[in-house]
Amino acid sequence: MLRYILRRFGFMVLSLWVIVTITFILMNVVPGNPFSSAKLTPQVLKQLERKYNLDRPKWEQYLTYLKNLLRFDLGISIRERGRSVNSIIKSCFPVSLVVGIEALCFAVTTGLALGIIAALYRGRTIDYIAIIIAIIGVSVPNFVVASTLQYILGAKLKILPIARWEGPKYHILPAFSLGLGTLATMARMMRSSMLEVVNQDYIRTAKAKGLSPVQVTWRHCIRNAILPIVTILGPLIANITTGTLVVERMFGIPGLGRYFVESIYNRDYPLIMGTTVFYAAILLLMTFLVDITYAIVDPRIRLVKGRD
Amino acid sequence: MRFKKWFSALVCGLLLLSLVAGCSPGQPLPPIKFLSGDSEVAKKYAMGLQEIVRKGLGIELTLENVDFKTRLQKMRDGDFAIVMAGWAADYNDPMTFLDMWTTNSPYNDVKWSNKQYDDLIAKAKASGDQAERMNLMAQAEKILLEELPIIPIYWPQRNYAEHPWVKGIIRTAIGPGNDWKFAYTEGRPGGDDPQHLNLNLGEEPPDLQSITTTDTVSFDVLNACLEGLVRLGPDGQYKQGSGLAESWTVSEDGTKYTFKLKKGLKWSDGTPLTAHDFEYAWKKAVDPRTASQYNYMLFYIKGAEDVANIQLPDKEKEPAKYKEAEAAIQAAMDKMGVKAVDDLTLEVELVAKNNIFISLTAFPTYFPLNQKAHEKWGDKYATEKDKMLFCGPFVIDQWEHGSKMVLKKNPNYWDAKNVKLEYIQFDMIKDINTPISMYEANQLDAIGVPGDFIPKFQKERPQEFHQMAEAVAWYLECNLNHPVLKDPKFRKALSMAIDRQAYCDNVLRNYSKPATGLTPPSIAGKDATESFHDKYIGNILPATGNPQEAQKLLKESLKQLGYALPKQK
Repeated sequence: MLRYILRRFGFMVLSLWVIVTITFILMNVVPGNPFSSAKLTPQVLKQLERKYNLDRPKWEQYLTYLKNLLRFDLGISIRERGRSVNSIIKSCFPVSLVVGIEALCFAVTTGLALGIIAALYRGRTIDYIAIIIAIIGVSVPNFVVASTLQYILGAKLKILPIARWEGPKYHILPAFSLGLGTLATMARMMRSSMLEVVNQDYIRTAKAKGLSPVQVTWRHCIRNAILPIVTILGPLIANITTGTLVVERMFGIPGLGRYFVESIYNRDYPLIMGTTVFYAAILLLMTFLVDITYAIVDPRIRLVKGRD
Repeated sequence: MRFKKWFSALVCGLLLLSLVAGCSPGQPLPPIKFLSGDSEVAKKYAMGLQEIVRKGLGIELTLENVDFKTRLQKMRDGDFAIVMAGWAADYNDPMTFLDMWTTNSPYNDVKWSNKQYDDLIAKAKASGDQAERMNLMAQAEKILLEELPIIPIYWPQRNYAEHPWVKGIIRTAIGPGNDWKFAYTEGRPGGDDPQHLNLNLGEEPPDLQSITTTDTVSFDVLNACLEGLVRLGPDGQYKQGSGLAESWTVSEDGTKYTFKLKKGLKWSDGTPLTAHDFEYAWKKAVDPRTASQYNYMLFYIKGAEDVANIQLPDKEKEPAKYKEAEAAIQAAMDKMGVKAVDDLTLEVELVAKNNIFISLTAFPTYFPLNQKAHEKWGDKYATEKDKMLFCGPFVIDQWEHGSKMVLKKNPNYWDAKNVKLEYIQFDMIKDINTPISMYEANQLDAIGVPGDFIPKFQKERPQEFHQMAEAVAWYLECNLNHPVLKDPKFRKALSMAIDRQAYCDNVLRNYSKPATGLTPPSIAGKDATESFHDKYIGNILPATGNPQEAQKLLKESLKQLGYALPKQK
């Protein structure tokens, strides 16, 4: 088991290095530079490149970056002059994390419940309602959901704030808009997974043993049906907690989401590297944790992986 | 080796072929690549222009949509035929649009060169007579509009809405876009007390260090929290005593200014604000170590450009050379024409007589900077509210990055008794729709109105919807090395073929005005009462296009260049 964990961890570090290297290369291949603007003279461009050490050879910049990365120093943003990438992540990530967790709690609980109910009442009205909710959740983009909610609940009924980031009241609409898509995915996956499990032999055995329907569902169906959900939960957590551009932008939430896109538009090299490395690290960590959880939960995987 | 031989044979063959082809009159037109932005709006605008050119000239532009930075790079590399570009005025004089097209200007992207034009601009710069300057600049602009290395297309408007209780916001087309010093509210539902405004900045201000900042969001905040020697008044004038300077005198030849500061000026931490703070700021702004993009705004001051031109070596790799450069910078700075004679007196010497200098001192790059505070925080200066000093009508009270900023009235400000607002709260919401909803729910007091929402506001809130002219020109830059665009006649045909009015009305749909010249009409002429464009230029380019003339010019041009006329569809 320990060997398995160590191996996984080694792979994680290796993957991170590959990601850093590829991002660094891609970033430098893209035309333009952090300073290009209409009013920039060649003279000032030179001064700026000097100031940020971008006039040094690329390999040297790469090695310096790796060296700093080992000390967890992600450099200084160029666009937001003087702010370190570490401080940007430190102040923005917790915000995205909070919204993300709220959205996830909402999406996972409601989504699973919907999926289970739909599966249990397959072909009945309640199943169709659940399916309709799932289809809406998957197909309607979250900016449409968000702006509709803003308009109805915020501007017209004035029950909830339209935007801004202050007290708990301000979390409801963003968390809902962000979670709806995940909710739908959860519901759909849980439903199909449940339906698969329901027809398994061991369920028949359980029923034949004389267990009550609640016990069969709870102990045998759900516990087995939830395994595929655990698999996608890792990347999903990484994805949703590191912030999303659209929802954060619409509600004026000071999260990390916008930096993933804007840093590239601005060619803010340290911020591009910083956000990518940070996201990659979280994603890899989540996958790592899921792998370990899996190994603990499901003995079949431990055996197979342990052998090679 | 064999490969090389093959290759050269191939190249020779191709060259021969192209020569033969060049002689025949029926050679098809080379592709004309139109570079534009990759946002949905930019694509829409580009396709609109493509359609208008197709209609007017029968030529199909090849669209290439790339993001802003890529576009700038491609422009620099000459990898385009035409590209839409814009320029915003730095000061209220036609020169801000004209001197960039001289041969040696770093902003002359198209590398156009015209001796006569260069001479006229140089003459206008040296002249102290306003009327003469205007005439010289008008002649220059007319040459530009005849040769058309750039083809002016439109002048944008600012569309905004503000609630009826909002009073006294000064909106300017140049430098900071908004001044809230004189703003107040009257009749706000729920009461005016405490006096305040809720506004949307749209984004986190990227740089609040006055000497390096370049964007309008930061400009607006800085204009509220800092102040220059003068401040634009509600009457649109820069008056003696309107800013930190009590008064100034100008020498006979117009090159030496002596500013007297107000007595008892203080920074927000209570330290005295002196003439030395201006000297420090202006020298820092041109220091190559600062690397300020707006350093050229100070090049009117004697010796400023010499400081900026000093090359700075890599400090870690060539420490000795770096030391030398630092010494050279210091020496050049000592010679620069700005000096604090005592705490209240600032002497400035200009390169030449210049009528716009006073208005420049209201520009953020010219704001004062306290040396002690600036050196204490170094590169972190102005990255947090407690890492900077204020001297304007307001101070930053709260700054939550990316979320909100609250400005509070500055009790140490010299004119605090005339500042009516107790605070201004800014959101930083980048989305387009959200602020509109917030405005309608009275959560924002004023907003910019994007094009798609103009009809809605005109219909539902006609009293609250306003427009003003910007001091911005949008034009097509032509690649003068392109096989057909190198011909002035072809460029003129293109210009004639474009129905600018139709482009503004049907494509942009935001009340932009067709550009019938380069310098926008909002730029003053001899004095503030006249418009340079209206008085000296007039409608040289046809607002609605002239298809017959365009076709005629196109035929002549293509015949001369040896290309076939495009087939009319």
